[in-house]
Amino acid sequence: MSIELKGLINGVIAAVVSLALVFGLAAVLKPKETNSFSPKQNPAVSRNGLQVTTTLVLQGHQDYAQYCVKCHGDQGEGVMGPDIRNEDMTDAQITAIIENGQRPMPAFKDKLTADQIKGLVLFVRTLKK
Amino acid sequence: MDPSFFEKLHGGSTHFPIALIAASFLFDLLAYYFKNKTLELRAAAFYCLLLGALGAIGAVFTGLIITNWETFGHGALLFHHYFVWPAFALMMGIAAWRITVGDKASPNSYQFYLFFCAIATVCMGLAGYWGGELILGNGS
Repeated sequence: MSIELKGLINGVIAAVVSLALVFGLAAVLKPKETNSFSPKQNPAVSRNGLQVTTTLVLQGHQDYAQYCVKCHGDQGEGVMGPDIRNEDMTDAQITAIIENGQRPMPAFKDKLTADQIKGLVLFVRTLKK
Repeated sequence: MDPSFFEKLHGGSTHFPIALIAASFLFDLLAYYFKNKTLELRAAAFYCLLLGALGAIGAVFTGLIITNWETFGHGALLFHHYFVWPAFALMMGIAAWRITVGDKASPNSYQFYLFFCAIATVCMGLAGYWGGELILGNGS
């Protein structure tokens, strides 16, 4: 066997094993209960009047996956609910809709903390057409 | 431990594979054209690739920890992952190939290597772009 063929086999094995390890560990370690958010004070960037942190955006992603994706879709393109990408609304308006609902969308102020709603607003802002 | 420790570690480690795979590709391209400096340039490319691959392992695992082991997700995170996984697999694959073959690659197989290295560089760059969009993009 030539050294190049041996290298090719090793390369394919390394690629497959590394992906299998990642996806296998993720399948085992991904928590079933996603609502375990503990807010932190670590503002990194200020955007649209909100303190942006990686934690808040990623928490927003988790809450979007749990509460919003069924109606608004994977990319915010709209399924049963409207398309929410590039909405021409302020953060305060989006926050108000999430908090109080907009029929038929339910209100979330009793389900989510203020920080979770901030995270959702930040995550929704990342959705693009 | 500071709860944002892994966020900071991801933010730091993620730049190593992005920069080093690009540097490795550049050194290899230069080695291809400047034959009188081939050995030195290929050595630089090899070590950049090796360090980049190690950085990629750190970046991937800290990323998985901060997203609660999410491998795809939604929105910008989904696009980030669309490019991260091919880039990660390619980087591990070409690093293993390079470690095995060393300097004994024929010109033909070296061209194939450069092709896959170019794809890994582009995927890594796009993964970085969407990671930045997730945290810093204004979304409008």
